[in-house]
Amino acid sequence: MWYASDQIEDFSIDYSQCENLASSDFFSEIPSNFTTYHFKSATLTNVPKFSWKLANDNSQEFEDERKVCVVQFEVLNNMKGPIYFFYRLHNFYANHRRFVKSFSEDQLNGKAASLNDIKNTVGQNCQPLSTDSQGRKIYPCGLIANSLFNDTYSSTFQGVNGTSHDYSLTNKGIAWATDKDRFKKTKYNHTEVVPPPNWFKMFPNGYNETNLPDISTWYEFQNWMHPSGLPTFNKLALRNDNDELQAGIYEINIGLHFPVLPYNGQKFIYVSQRSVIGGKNNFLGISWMVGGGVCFILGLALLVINFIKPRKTGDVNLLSWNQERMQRDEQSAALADGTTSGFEKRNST
Amino acid sequence: MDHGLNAPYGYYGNYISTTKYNFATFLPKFLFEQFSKYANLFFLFTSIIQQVPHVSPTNRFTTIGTLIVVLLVSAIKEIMEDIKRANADKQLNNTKVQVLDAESGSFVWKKWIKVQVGDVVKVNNEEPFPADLLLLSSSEPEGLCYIETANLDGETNLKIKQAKTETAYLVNPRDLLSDLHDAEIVSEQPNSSLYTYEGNLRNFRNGSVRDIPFTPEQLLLRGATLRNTQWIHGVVIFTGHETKLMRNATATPIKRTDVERIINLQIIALFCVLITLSLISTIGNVIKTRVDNSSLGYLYMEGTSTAKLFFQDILTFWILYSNLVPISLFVTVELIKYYQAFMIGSDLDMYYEETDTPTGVRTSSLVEELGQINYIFSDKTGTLTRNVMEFKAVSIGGKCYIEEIPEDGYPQIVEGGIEIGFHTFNELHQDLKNTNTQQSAIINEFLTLLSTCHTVIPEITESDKIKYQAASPDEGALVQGAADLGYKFIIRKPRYVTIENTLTTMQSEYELLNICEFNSTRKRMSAIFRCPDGVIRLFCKGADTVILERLSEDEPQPFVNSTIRHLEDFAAEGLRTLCIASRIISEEEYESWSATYYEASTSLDDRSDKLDAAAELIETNLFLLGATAIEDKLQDGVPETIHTLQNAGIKIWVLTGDRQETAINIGMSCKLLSEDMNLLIINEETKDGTRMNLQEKLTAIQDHQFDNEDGSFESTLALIIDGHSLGFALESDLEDLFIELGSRCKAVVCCRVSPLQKALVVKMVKRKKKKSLLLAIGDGANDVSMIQAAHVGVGISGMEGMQAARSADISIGQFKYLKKLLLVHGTWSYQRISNAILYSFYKNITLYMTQFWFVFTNAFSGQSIMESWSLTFYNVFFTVLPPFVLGVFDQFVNARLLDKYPQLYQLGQQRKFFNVAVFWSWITNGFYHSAVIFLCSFLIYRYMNVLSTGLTADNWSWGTAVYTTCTLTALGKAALIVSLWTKFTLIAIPGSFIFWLLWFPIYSTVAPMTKVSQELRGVLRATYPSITFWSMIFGVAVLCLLRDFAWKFYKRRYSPETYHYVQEIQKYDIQDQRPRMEEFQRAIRKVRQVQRIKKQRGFAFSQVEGQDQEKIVRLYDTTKKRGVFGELSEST
Repeated sequence: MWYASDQIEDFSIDYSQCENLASSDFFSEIPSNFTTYHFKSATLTNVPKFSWKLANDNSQEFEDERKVCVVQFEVLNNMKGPIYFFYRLHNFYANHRRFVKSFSEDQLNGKAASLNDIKNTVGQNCQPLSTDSQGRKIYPCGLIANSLFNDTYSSTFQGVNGTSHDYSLTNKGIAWATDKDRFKKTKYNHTEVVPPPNWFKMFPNGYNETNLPDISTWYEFQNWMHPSGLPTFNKLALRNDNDELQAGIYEINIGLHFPVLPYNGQKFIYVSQRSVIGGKNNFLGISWMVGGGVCFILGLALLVINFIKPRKTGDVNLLSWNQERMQRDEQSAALADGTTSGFEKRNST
Repeated sequence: MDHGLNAPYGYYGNYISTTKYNFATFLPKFLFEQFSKYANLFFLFTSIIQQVPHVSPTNRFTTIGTLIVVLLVSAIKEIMEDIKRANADKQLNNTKVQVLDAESGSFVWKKWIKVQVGDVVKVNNEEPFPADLLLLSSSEPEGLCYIETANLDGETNLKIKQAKTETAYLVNPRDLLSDLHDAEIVSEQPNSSLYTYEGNLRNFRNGSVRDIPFTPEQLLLRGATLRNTQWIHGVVIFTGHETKLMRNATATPIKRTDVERIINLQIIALFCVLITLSLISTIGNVIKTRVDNSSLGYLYMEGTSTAKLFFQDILTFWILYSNLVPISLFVTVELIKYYQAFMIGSDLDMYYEETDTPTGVRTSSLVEELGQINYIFSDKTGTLTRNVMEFKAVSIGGKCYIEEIPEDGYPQIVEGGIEIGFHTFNELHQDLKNTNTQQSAIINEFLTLLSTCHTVIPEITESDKIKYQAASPDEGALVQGAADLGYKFIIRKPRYVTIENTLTTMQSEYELLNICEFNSTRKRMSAIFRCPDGVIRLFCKGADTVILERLSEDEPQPFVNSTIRHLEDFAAEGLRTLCIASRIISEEEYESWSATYYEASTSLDDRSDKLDAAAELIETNLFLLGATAIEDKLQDGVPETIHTLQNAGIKIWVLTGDRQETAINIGMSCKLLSEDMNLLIINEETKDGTRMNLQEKLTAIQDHQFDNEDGSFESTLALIIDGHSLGFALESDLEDLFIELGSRCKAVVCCRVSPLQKALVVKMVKRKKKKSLLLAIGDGANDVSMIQAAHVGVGISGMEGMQAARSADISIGQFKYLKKLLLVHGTWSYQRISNAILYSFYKNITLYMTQFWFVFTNAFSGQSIMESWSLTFYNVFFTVLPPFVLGVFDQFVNARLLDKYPQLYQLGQQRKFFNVAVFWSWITNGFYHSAVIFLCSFLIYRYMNVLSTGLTADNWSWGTAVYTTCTLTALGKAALIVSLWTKFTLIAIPGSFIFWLLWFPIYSTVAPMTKVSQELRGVLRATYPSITFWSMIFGVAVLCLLRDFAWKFYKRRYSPETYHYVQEIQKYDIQDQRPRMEEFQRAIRKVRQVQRIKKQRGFAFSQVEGQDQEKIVRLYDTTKKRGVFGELSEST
């Protein structure tokens, strides 16, 4: 398993600081502490280059949403498909109790859930984000939906700096297969509902007839709605199940929308292959090896002890009461010996 | 008597109920009992908190739902046990008795329950009294009747009650109807005093006679049995719960077991752990939310005050960790015990065929205490002995005769010309036939003496056989013995007794001149007869000490030495002996003595002293004929049982009403005491004397012990204490001394104790030896208080009625079953319960503590890893069976070896399997396992991308993986601690896991469709196809259990406990071929023994003093025929 895991080639780039550190004019190298990689052909000297540049996307309505981080990464050797492209968040408590239960299953199922439903369902409801300040229902309501990860990724790794071929990915199949039964187009009328507060920039004028989101095909949203168990987690954004990712330098545009710095968090992109055990997962193999190792050492140790100090199995003489008795007998025997020998000595002298 | 007149007084019916509940009281009583267990209270509280909105991290109905199930199961169990009690009551209530029916003018059979105050009932011989009665008349002369009150006060001798002479003629229903028609009884109020009664009969014979006062002499109490009397007529005065018996019954106390006490304490400790964990998490949360507020902006936490957050969090975490205490623990334990009780009840080894009595466990909650007993308090009569005396052997003229010669008992001559060993009774007859030898004459005289000198009354039964009615069973045995040897006592008349020599079919009549009665100072009785040959003879039988000093010095006493030797041999066998002597009295001497005696018998003051003095005059110059040996028949297997139990380290205290010598005697015969033991006898008349004596003995022991450190000395001590001294020793300033001394002795015999003292002794030991568990065993009503006072009360459902068995926790058919009950079932039960309890705690901690580790990665929010119903099902389905299997089927050592090595019982006495240290080591192990599981799963599911499809898992998938790992680990642990694999174990341990594996796909598919457990939607696909999931659950479980397995191996191999050896012996079926060391050792010890104690010999008299033995003898004339109703007609 460790071998399988080790076979996986991957790299990750922490681009949280892109907006602060990257130049808007030229590509600068990404500090090495922001990147990790595992390529078979990588050696101490043969290291992949990662660089970034801050660009602008003027199509965005709001000024603070226009930043785009252009990341160039070098793939040292061909990576066999399938290739998965994840984003990774760090220090984001998607497993917080308040967070985990803050959604409306009914809304996700496409029902026109009533205010009472979304607000007061026991165990799982949208509080504290059920309604806006005017009491209108939020759709999709709750903390999870509100904090939707909304960085955008260009769906193609564009070959640059002499790499002629592009590598295109898709967002089809990034959500659980079961989600198509769960996430349904809503029955709400667009007038009944308002978008969550953090979606303001996505829907500056609220919902209208055309822009009410169809969550049944919004795979990124579906993925997001599965809260992660741990505060550091990957989520699949794009994938290519067939093609090999050839060696070369590629570029990807990341629309920066999701603020992680205020949360003391980090966001990464993570590109990986897979193995039979799933993603790269060294610990699984290690845990088995440790277990086996301990067994082996213990076995050896016990074997040695057994050679040095063997004990007969089920020896009746060792029963505590028999031992006591033997001790007592020995004592009295010793006592008897002592007295007789003393006596003899006295006689002889 | 008209019942209508009694109606206004509202007497209770004769209905008796010993049940714990009835319809109305069930709910409050049951709930009170249940919620007095901290665990249940705790869960009630938890489920209330869970109802507070926004607090619970899990589904709000999970706790209350489980609690209700738990309570329901307990309720059903309680109801079942109570129904059993109700059935026993019903049986008793439906016993039938003859009641005088005014309309038909005759006696009709009615159920006890129908008996009312004022009814006249007829009770036949050997029947128990249905209610408290006043004796009106009986079949015997002067309205006498015998009753046995063993059930009330434990005294086995018969008591005499006598009807008022005014009513004694009421022998037929006609008289009863006419003369009692308008009569009224003015009676005292119902009370609990057994020995007092006041009442008056008014308007008797339609007012033609004066009021007749009733005294305790006429009182026949429920619980007593009519004996030696054809029938009696009595009028009912108290019924049902107003009877003195029921008034004396104390409510069955609720007994808590030691293990339960520890659990209750540890639950409090766990509760503190819970609070601590909650506080840690809460403080973490407060800090996280306040200090690190900005990083959690997406949670919209504004507007919550710190204080509110704090308290809300405490409650949240409380609920989250509440399952540290396993909710199902108590119900699991109760069910286990119930089933264990059932198994004990169905053990055929403990089924007494003769009386069709299986062992019954009435209070199943006490079963595991059976494995931890330190002290046994045993009644003697009926428990150790059968209360049947058997004429075993005689020594006549220096020759011993016995029915069957034991193996090493053939006659041989030892030094001094004394013959030891036995001849058969046939040889006795041959010796008798040799009429020209001296031996023949002596045998003749001896047997004549046995058949004449007594106070026994012969009763001719329907089949023309003679049944001897004796106040003392010893006497009965002697007379019966003489009859068996051909000297049959057939007729008693006031002045004559007739015996028939069945060998020659010759009847001879002896004129009874005087009887010098038995009492405890005289220790002998004698009778003076004018024999058919006209010679006056004094026949005397008594304890050896008193007879031997009254032997004639003028005549040669050829048999003294041999008789003494025989007496010693008899005593060593535990037989009760009497010396037999006789003397010929000349006419003149008799005349003069007779005058003295008459004077004494008519004197008004100090009559008994004067009579004793007079008897002293004539009982001299005796000629020793020989001695008798009576065996107080022991119950089956008593010596072996006692010996084994002592080997198991149990101290046995026998509490008996017998006198000291008899008690020691019985102690010897049932191997409680042995000859090489040092008997410490305390028999003092004053408190100071008792104190001195105790102190002296104690210092002696301590000194002795100093130079004898191996403790073998203590195993040779036995304390014999007399009831009188016991009374002093139980006073608060002496009890410390007493218990100090008593607890050092291997055996303690308390003689002449009253029923009350029995209970006091038990209570005192219970109070002083807090760590010890006490078992009391008895069969009579006099043992009830003792049985109730002890931790475990065992009743023998035997001869003396069912009273003891009904108030006991466990009833058995025979004393010998105690061995298997304690050594096998007790030990098993204790070990099983311990493991089941420890395991229950462990499994919960293993699962629920992962929640605690989880808070560190979820900002202390109290999110649950697992879906809440799965969490609940963990306790209800997936790990519920292993504790049951551990608790019901596991056998750490099989029954044969437990029996072979009674020393294994000490495991229970020393609380080896369940104590605070063991408990916390299991708890720690649970914490350790949960930490390993959490850490590993945390690292394995680090980025959540563990699915081979490239998808990432969500928190519920991860939770399921953690949950499955915990389940597998917990089940694996169960597999490690199970000793015996049965098919049930297979179902429970691998079965549970397979059940979960099958259950989960179905549940996670079906449940979300019905809006339950919607979290699990899709989780199946995120777990089962993943290799990571499978390799994690097996890998991590093995990693966890590696420690346990290695430790277990190390422990067994290199520092094994005794029981590990025995397990090995069992496993490899190793033969224990050590020579029977014990015999050898005993021989050695015997030699070493320096201080030989003076041999104690019990003598065979057990009459109660102060009863007019002579009067009885003089009253009866067995030649008279009984009338129509069985009464003796006075006219003839």
